[in-house]
Amino acid sequence: MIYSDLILNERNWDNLLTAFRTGRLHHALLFHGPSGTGKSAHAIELAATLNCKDSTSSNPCGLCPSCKKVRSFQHGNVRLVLPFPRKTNLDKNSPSIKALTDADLTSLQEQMKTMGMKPYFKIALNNANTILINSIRDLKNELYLSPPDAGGRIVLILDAEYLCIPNATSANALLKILEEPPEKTYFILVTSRSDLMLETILSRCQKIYFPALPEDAIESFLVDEGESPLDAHLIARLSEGNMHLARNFQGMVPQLYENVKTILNAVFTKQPDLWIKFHKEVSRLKQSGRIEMDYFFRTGIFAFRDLLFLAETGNTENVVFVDNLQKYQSVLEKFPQSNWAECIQLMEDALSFIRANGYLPLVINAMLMDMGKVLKGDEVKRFSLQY
Amino acid sequence: MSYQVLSRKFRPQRFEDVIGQIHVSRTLKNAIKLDRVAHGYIFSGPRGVGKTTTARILSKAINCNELQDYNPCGGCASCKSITEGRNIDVLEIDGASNRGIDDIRDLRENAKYPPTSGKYRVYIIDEVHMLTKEAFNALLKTLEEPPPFVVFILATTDPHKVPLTILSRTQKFDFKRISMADIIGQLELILKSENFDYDEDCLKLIALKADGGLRDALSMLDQIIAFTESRIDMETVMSVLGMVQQSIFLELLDYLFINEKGNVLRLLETTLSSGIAISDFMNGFNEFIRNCMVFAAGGDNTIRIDESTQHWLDERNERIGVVDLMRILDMSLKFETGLKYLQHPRIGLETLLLKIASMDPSVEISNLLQQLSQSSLTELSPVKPVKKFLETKLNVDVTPKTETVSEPSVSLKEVSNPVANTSDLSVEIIQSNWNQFLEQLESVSVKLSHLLEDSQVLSFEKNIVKIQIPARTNGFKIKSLEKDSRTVERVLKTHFKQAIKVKYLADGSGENGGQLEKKTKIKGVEEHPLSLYLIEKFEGELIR
Repeated sequence: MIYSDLILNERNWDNLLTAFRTGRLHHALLFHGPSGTGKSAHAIELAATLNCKDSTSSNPCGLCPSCKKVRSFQHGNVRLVLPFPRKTNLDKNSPSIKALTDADLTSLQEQMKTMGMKPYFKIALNNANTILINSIRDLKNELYLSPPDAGGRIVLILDAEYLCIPNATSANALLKILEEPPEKTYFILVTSRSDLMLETILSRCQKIYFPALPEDAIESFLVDEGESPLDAHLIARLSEGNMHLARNFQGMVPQLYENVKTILNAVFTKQPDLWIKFHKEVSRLKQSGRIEMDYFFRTGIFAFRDLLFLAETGNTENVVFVDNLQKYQSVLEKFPQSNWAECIQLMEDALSFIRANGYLPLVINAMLMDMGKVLKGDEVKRFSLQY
Repeated sequence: MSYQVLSRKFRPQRFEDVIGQIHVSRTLKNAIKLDRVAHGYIFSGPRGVGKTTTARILSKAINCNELQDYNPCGGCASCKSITEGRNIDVLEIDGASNRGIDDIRDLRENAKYPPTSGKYRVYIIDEVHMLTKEAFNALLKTLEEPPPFVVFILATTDPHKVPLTILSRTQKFDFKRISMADIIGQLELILKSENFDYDEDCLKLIALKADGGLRDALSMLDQIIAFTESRIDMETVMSVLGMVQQSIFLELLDYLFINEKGNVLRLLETTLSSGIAISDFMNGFNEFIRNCMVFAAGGDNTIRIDESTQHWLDERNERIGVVDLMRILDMSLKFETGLKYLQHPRIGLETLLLKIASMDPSVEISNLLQQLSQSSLTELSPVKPVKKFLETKLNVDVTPKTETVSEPSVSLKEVSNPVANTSDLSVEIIQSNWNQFLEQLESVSVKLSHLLEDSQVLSFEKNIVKIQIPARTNGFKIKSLEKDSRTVERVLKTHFKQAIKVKYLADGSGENGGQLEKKTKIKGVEEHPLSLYLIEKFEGELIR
C-alpha cells in the first residue's frame, strides 16, 4: 500500500478491487461522503493499483518504481486537478498553471509532498475557490494523446464540488469527456458535498459512499500518534469520524473544556460580563478564521447534546465531555423544564446566521435570550435561513 | 479494448431502441420518410434519457444510403464511421468547452463547404446551454438559413438557458423522463444478454432510485454487477445503493412509539456506522413513513411495504392514526430540506428522532368532534374553514348587490355563529365573542384590530357598546379609533347581525394613571442590575 496508516474502508476497497480484477471498473467514479474519511487517499491507492508493476498481490506494493512515482505525484498516468485561485485575465487557451503565483506553486509542491506521506492531508491553496475551466481544457488536450505509461490513466479531481462553484462552467465542460473518455482513462471525483454538484455529472458517475470513520478507529489512530487515551476518546467523539477535525483538535483538549465553560456559563448565568465574554470570544475567533469559530460552536453543540442525552435517556455512555458530568447533573436539576433539543437547534441557527454575515452581537444576544426562555420550558419562535 | 460501461455498450443504434421517447422517434422517422428533414433541431430533457443518442441516430439516418425502415443500417461505410466518431461530415461539438464566439466563427467558416461523402454535414452541439450570449447571436444567421446540406442538432438539459431567438429557429423536441416500467424492461433485456442471474425486485429498486434517467439506472446496475460477482439479490443491491432495510425502519418506528429513546439512539448509531449516508437514511425514512401513512389511510399500498410492517400497523390501528404519521412526516420532511445547510447533520438527526419520540399521541378528529358536540354551544368557536368563508363573505358584503346571491350561506352562518340566532345581544355575548370579532376585524384593518387588542367591553345599552381602552397612551389610541369608528361599526354589524354604535372610554385612572405607571417604571429601570452595571461601567447617571 502507499499509505501505511490509512484506515481502509474494507467494503469499498474490496468492491473496487473486485471490479478492477474482473475488468469492470467504471471509467467515472465519484467518491463522496463526509470529509476527513480518507477519500482521496483511497483514490490514490486505486491509482497505484492500476499502475503497480508487482502483480503478486492485489493491493499496490508501494515499493516498485511506479508506486514510488505515484506517491511523489510524478507518475505520468496520474493527473491531479485542484481548485485554483480565480484569475480574471487568464486567456482562454493558456494553461491553468498560469493562474498560480510563484508562492502558490512552491506551496503546492510542498503540500503535494506532504500528501504523499500523510493519508488525511488536504491540499488547500490560498484563495482557491474554483476549478478553472482552463484546467479542464488542459485535461482534454492531454487525454487524447496516448498515455506516457502502460496501465491505466487516472484523473483525480479533488474537491470536485468546486467544478460547480461559483457557476457550473467547468462541470459542463467536463461532461462530454466524462461520459466517453479515451481508452483506459479513469476519472475519480472526490467530494464531500455531492449535493452541490450537477445532476448531469452525477448521472455519469458511479457513486461510492465513504461513511464517517468509526470512532474507535480514530481513537486508536490518535493513541498511536501519542495522544493520551482519555483525550483521544474525547477527540474521537467530538470529531464524528472526521479525521481532519480530529487532527485539528489534537492537543486542544484543555481549550475545548474552556470553550464549553464559556458557553455554558453564558447560557446558565445571566450575568452581563459572561455574555460579553462569550461575544468577545466569538468575534475573536471569527476574525482569526471561520474554522476556529466552527470548532467553538461545535463544542457548545456537543455539550448540549450531552445534556439532551442525559435528560432523555439518563445514560452516561454517550457523554463526550466526561469531566463535566457533575456540572451537567446540577444543571439538569436546576432546569428540569428545559428543552435541550431546542437549545441545539438555536445554536445551530446562530452559527448559520453568523456564517451568513449576520450582525454578530445581535445574533449572539438573541440566541442567549431565546435559550433563557427555552431553559424555563417556554416556546420560542425560531427563525432560520433555510426554511 | 478496455471495458466499456453498460450505458455506452448498449447505446441504441436504431430509433426504435430509444425507449420511452416514441413521440420523438416517430416524428423524426416520418420526417425522413417524407424527406422533410429540418435544418435545425433542439433536443431538450433531463439527464440520461437519450438526447445525444437520438442526435447520433438521426445524423446516421440522414446520411445512410441503405435505410432499413427509415433506420440507419449500421453496416455501411458512413454509418460505421459515424459510430466510431471519425466521420468528418458529422461533427460532435462540446458546447460547454467550445463556448466562445471564436468557436462559432470557426464553425460558420466550416459550414460553407459541402460534405465530402454523404448527403449532409451534421453539427451536433451538445450541452448547448453553455454557449456565451455572443456565441449564440453569432450562430443566429447561419442557423436560420444554413446551406442546404447542413443540419444542426442542439442538445441540452437546460432549454431555458437557450435564447428564444435560437429556439424559434429550430424544431424543439422535449424528451421525457423514462417510466419505471420502461427502465425495468431495459434492465431485464441487458441482464439477459449479459447472462446474469437476478431477483425481479432488485430491478424495481434500481428503477425507483434512477428517477427517470436510464443512464443512472445503468450506472447503478454496472456498479452492482462489478461489486458482486455472483447473483444479484436484494441485499447486495441495497448495500451498494446505500439503502436501509425496511425492517430497520420498522424497528425504529416501534421504538419511537413506545418511547424507548436509548434504543432509538442505539439503532441510529448502528445503522449509520454500517455505512449509510444521512441523506440516504432520511430519504428512506420519509419514503417509509409516507408508505405507512398511505396504508393506514386505507390506500392500496401493499406493494411498497412488507408484511411485517402491515401487520405492525394493523395491530396498532387503534393508537396510531394517520395523523400521527402525518406529523412525523411533516417534521422529517422539513428536516430533510434543511439537511444540506446543517453543520452538524448527525446531531440534527438525533434531535429530530428524540423530538418525534417525545411527541404526544394525537387525538382523532372524530373523537374531538364528538366531545365538542356534547359541550355547550356558546363555548364552540367557529371552525376554521367557516371562518375563512365568513371572511370572503365580508368582502362581498361591501357591495350590496351580491348579498341576495349568497343566500344558502346564511343558513350555514347561522349554524356556525352562535350569536346569529339570538336577536337580543347582551354584554356577555359580545365579551365572549370579542376575540373572534377582532380576528374578523383584522382581515379588514390590521391597524384597528391592533389598537383594540388590549381593550375591554364595558357595557352594552341601547345599541351602544362601550369599550375601555387601557391607560397607556390612550389619548392617541382613542383619537385614531374614533377616526375609523365607521369601519368598526360595519364589522360589528356583520359579526353580530345588528347595528351597533361604539363609544370609547379611557381607562378609569386616565392620564394620571399613565403617569403613575411611568414613574414606577422608571424606578424599575433604576434598580435593574443591567442599568446599575451600565452606570457603574461608564460612570454615568440616570437623566430621565
